[in-house]
Amino acid sequence: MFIRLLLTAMMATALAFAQGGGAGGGMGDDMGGTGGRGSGMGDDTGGMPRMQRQSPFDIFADRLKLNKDQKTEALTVVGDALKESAPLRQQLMQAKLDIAKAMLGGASTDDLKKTMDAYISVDAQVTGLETKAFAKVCATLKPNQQGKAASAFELMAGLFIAPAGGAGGRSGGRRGRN
Amino acid sequence: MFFRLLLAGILAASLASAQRGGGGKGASNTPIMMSTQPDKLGMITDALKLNKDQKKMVKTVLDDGQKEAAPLRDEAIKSRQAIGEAISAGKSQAEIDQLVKSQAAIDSQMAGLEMRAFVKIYQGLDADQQPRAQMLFQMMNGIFKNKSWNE
Repeated sequence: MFIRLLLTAMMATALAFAQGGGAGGGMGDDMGGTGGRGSGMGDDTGGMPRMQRQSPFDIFADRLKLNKDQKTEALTVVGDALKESAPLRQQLMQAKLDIAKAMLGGASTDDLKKTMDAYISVDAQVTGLETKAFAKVCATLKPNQQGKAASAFELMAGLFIAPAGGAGGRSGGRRGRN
Repeated sequence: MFFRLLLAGILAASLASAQRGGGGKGASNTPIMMSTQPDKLGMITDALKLNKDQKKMVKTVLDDGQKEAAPLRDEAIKSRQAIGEAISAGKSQAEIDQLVKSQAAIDSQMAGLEMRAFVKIYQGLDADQQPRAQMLFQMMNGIFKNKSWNE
């Protein structure tokens, strides 16, 4: 029962992730990423200051000081990587579930290690995709933008997975997966 | 019937999650500057209908997990910085792959901590609360990546 419940939850989560990553949706603030802009329910507030939470992608783009064209290109790159990594991220959730199952079932150290190794394997693949996407974005940078490029990789994780609690990735670098 | 209800709940949660940060905030007339997002402990308490003792237990488990995760968190930050530097410096793919492997090992340890905390909490739930633990499972994802799990 426990397993069935969690598997269902995982599938639902994966669907939500897929919606977020399909075409860059959920990353840019014009794409429904933050605060429901464009919903017709908050744009005519009579001049009241609107506090928009920056999306993880915007934080990433700001860190790299991307111009408009670079931002568009980066959005495409990250969107493609998201699509490519979707099944892997689902596997990652399954691997995490397997770890929980092993712990709940009192698995031996060896068996627990197997589940951890499986997690490492999938996680490395996801991070590998992140590195490729990041390298593509870096390739578009001008020399004066390259100085802080390395620190922006930390933020890539925030682009790939929703954070815990569905809070919208407020800190950018918090990856939902580990 | 129970399963159908659960599916409906998950679907609703997924939609809210897909809106990213909507959480009902953008769809109401509440003042925009006002933060209405409850803390995680509050969310867990509400979702699982925890009693006072269980709430205390959850807080203790997650506080302990956070402490244990602190060095890993620092390692993960350094590791990702190293990967970023390697990429921006044009290092070889073999070097990058090695760093990625190290990063994945750190991530798996963090996943282990998350799942250990999850299992502890799960085991402290009553039988009628356990079917709702899927929400907790989702929340555990990256919960120790922040300085405070409850922010």
